[in-house]
Amino acid sequence: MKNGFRQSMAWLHTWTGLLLGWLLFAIFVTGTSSYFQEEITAWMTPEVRSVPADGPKSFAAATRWLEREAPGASEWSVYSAGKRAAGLQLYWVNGPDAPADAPTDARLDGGGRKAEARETRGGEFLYRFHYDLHYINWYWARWIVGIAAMAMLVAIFSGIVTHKKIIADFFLLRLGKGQRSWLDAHNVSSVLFLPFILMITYTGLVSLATHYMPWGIAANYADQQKFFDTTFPWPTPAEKVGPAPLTAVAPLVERAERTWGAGAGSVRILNPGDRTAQVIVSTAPDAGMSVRPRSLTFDGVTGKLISAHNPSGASTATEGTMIGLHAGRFASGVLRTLYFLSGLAGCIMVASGLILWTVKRRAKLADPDRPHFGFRLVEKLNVGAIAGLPFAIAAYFLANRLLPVGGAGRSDREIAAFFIAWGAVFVWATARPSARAWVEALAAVAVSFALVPVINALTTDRSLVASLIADDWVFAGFDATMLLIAAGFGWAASKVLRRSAGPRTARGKRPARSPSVEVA
Amino acid sequence: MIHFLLLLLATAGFGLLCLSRERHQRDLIGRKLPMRTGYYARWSGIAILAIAFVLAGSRLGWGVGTLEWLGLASVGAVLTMAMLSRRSGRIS
Repeated sequence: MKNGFRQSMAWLHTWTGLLLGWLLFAIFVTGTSSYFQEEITAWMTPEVRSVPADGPKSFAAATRWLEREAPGASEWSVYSAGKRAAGLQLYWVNGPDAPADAPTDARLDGGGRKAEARETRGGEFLYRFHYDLHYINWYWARWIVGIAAMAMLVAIFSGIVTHKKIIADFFLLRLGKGQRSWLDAHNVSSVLFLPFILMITYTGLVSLATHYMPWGIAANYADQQKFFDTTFPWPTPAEKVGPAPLTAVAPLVERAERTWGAGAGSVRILNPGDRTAQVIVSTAPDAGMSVRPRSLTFDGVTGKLISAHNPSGASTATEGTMIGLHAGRFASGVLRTLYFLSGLAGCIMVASGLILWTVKRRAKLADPDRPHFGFRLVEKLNVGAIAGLPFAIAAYFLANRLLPVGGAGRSDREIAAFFIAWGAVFVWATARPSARAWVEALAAVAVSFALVPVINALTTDRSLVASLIADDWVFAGFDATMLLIAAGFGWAASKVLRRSAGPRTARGKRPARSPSVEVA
Repeated sequence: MIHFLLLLLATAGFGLLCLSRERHQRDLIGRKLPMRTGYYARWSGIAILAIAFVLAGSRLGWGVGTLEWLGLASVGAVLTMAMLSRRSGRIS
C-alpha cells in the first residue's frame, strides 16, 4: 500500500493547505514585512529625522529628558530596538502627586528631543497582526495562529512525502505550461527554501509554546506569574527613603556594553533621585541570537555594580535562540535581506499552492462556465487573500500619508483603512467574474504600491530623489521596494490578462478591459 | 565582499550540480556530457558548497555563517533554476 500512503498524504496536504492557506498567507506576508519593522516605523513617522546612533549618549539624553518631564516617578524605562532603532521609547510610572491623566510614555528622537511625529502604530501593527491578528482577543488569536502554524507543519511534511521527485525536479521550473507551471512554482519555492520554511514554522510555534502548552508550567509553578517571575525576573521599586542625586547613566551603559561586547537596548531606573535608586541596563534585541536579554544592575547613587543577570540553562538558551532565529533581530544587512527574500518565497509557496487547488480542479469541472459553489468560493477567497492583503498594506502606507496629521485616533484610522481596503477586494472579487477580478485586483495592487512613493513625494519633503541625495538609505530603500513590489504585481496582472484574454476572445468575448482601480 | 563571494560560490555549486544531471545537460550546454565529466561536476559542485560553508562559518561566525550560507544557497539555487528555465525555454 505504498501508493495508498502517498495518496493519503496528498489528501492531507491539499486540505490542511487549503483550509488554513488564506490565513497562513496573511501571517507570512505581515511576518515577512516585520523584518523591516523599524524601517517601516521610520518611514511612517517622516517628521523624525534624527535616529539614535550612539547608545550611551542617547540613553543619557533620555534620562535627562525624564528628569525634566517626570521627576517624581517611581520608575523610568528607556527602550531602543538597537542599531536600526527608529527612535527611543520611554515609559514611566508617575509618583502619587502626579495628576491621574498625566502622560506615562513618549518617543524621543536621536537628539534626545520628544519626537513630534504623527500618531501611528507603524511597523508594529503589521508585526503584531502576524500573531495577534486584530479586532479579536489576543488570547484566541494566538490559538488560531497556532492552529494555522500546526497545519503548516503538517502541510510541509505531507508535502515532502507527496512530492515524489524532489531531487529529480530540484531545478525545474517550466513556464507557460498551465497547471505544470503552477506545480513547479509551488515546488521550487518550497523545496529551495525548505530550510527557512521549516525553521520559521517550527520556531514560530516555539515562540508561543507557553501559550499552547501551559501544562509544564502548571505542573511546576503555582501560577503562570510565578513561572515568569522566576525565569525572567523583573525587579520592582522599593519603598523610597530619601533624596539623593542620580548617578550619571552614560558611564554605566558604557561599562555594560564593554562587559558584554554588545550594545545596550534598555535602561530601567527604579526610584530615580532616591537613595534606593537602581539602574538596570539590558542588552539590545540585536545584541545576540537569543532574544533573552542579559542585564547588569547598578546602584543608582554610587554607580557600583550590584548584580549581573545572564539567562543561562540549556532550555532557556534553546528557547531564546529559537525565537531569535525566528525574529532575526540580530541579523544585519545581507542576512536581513535573505530573511526577507526567504519570507517572500514562503508567501509565493502558500499563494501558488492556493491557486494550484483551483487550476487542478478547473480542468475537471463538468461545466467550466458554471463551476460549483465550493470552487467559486475558493476562487473568490484566493483573490481576496492573495491580492487583498498586499492591497491592504499599500492602503495602510497611503493612509499614513493622506490622513490629516493631527487629531486623536489617527493610528486607528490607518488600521481601519487597512481592513476596509482588504474587505473591498473581497467584495470586488465576489462582484466580478473571477478571471477579471484577478487582473483588476492585481493591477490595483500594482497601482497602489506605485502610488506610495508618489504620495510620499507630494506630502513630505523626503521623496525618493531627496532621500538618495541625502544618503538616506532607509527612506530611499523603502520607496524603491514599493516600486519593485508594484512592478512585480504589474507583471503578474499582465500575465493573467494575457492568459485569460486568449481563450475568452476565442469564444467571442471581448478581452478584459483595462484594469480599473475603483476598489481604492 | 565576502557576501558576494559566497553568493558566487553558492551559484557555481548549484550550477555544477544542475550540470551533473543528465536531463539538464542538453538545455544548459547544448550537448550531453560523458558520464565521467558529469560525475566530476557533481562532486566539484558539492565541494564548492562545502568550501562556501567553511568560509562563511570561519569569516562570519558559525551561527550567523550557517544561516547566511543556507540563505545564499537558496538564492544560488534560484539563480541556477532561472538560468535553466531561460535556456530550456529558448531551445524548445
